[in-house]
Amino acid sequence: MTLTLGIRELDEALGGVVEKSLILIHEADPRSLGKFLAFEIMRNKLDSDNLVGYFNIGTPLPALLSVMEKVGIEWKRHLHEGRLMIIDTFGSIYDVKTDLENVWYLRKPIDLDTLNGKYIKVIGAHKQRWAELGMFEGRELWGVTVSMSDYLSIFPPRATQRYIEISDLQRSRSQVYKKYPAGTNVWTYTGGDTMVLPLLYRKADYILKTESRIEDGEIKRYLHIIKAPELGDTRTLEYKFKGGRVQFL
Amino acid sequence: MDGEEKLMAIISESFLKGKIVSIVDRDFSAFTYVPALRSLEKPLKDGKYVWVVSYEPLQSLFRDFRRAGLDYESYLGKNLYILDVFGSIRHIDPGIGGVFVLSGYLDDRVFILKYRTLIQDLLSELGPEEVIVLGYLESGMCRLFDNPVRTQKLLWSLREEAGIRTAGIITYIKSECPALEEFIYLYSDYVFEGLIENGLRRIIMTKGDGE
Repeated sequence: MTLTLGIRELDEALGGVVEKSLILIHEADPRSLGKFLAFEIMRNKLDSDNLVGYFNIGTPLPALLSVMEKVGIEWKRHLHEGRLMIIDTFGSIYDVKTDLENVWYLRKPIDLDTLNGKYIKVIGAHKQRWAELGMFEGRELWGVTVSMSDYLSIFPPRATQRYIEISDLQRSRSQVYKKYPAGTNVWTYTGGDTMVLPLLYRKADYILKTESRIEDGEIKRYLHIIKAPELGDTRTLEYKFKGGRVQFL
Repeated sequence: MDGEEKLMAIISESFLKGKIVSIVDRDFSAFTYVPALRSLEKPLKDGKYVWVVSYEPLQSLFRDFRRAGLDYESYLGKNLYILDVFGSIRHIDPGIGGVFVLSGYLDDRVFILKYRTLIQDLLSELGPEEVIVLGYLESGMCRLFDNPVRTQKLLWSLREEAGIRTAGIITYIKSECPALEEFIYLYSDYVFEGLIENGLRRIIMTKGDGE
């Protein structure tokens, strides 16, 4: 089954995305604002009454929620109405906690050897809640992770590498992913490295790489479609950032 | 409108609307942040509260204030307050009214806790309706903290807790601390980059309406 991202130009270029696939948004430089593409997809999915699990890795939740508000994500309403759930990894590790409904924290101590098991437990508990409320019916399920590269500022690179290598296998064995529907995932990654990023490039079904340049005294932003199921030549789209939104030219 | 005029216009507007404007100098020769300091003159004259968080030696901040033509001494301790982060971490207390240093043991986590207590005390003492916060050369965090990325995020997250309207200016030299750029681009409403190109000093808006 093919889903849309809700961004016309991108959907046309990709021909939609395959359900349950992994879309990696590689924000090659922070100025390209690739993360806002993930927020754009998330806003579209929530506004069209789909389910989103948001994995917050490296940003204090109060700061993140203020950014979401600026880009038009009605997080308060979506949390309250149950279509949005947030797993706050940063808050769990550094004890920055809120008492917002449908925001989950992981039990301490948290290290990369136990992290995936803890995610699976929380995902399982929330999917059970969604199932009991009958919310899977007629809705798409999306997972949005911002940002995979944040693991590198929390954990050592080798441990992060190992975590990504084995988390796939652990999840494929888990009952949670057999009992309940699995989602289509959007992960962001900022910057570049040779230990973690190549693993993500291999794992992802789609790779959208964003970069920015200053040309003639103006900022220009480009999105390169590096990988898609039908691997062809890369394609490049240009976009602008206006009113907190990504707008393709 | 040239880059500097645009920057100054956006900063003035952001003071009224409680927005965050970041000035990213590509390297330490651009000095885009110096004219930006001049924008504090009007709100200080109007009696607004300005809170400067300085990550460089205090004398460097004072010199830049003078270069920007800002008569900081008239306001210091009245409606201008400075947290001397450099002095706090290096245990140097300048003993100047209106300048705070955090004392005792400090690591990244303890710094945040003591900083939170300081601003809570100050806010309850002064009771301002709004505050303008200036992060003076946040790139200095890379020399002062073990995990500057986490510390910067936690510091700016306190703004969300404060419960009052806060406008902010972040000044930052990318080449001295590249890792902070990501949060600056995520969190700021406006970003301007300063660079020297073919001998010309240029300021380019790189995030925000009108870029």
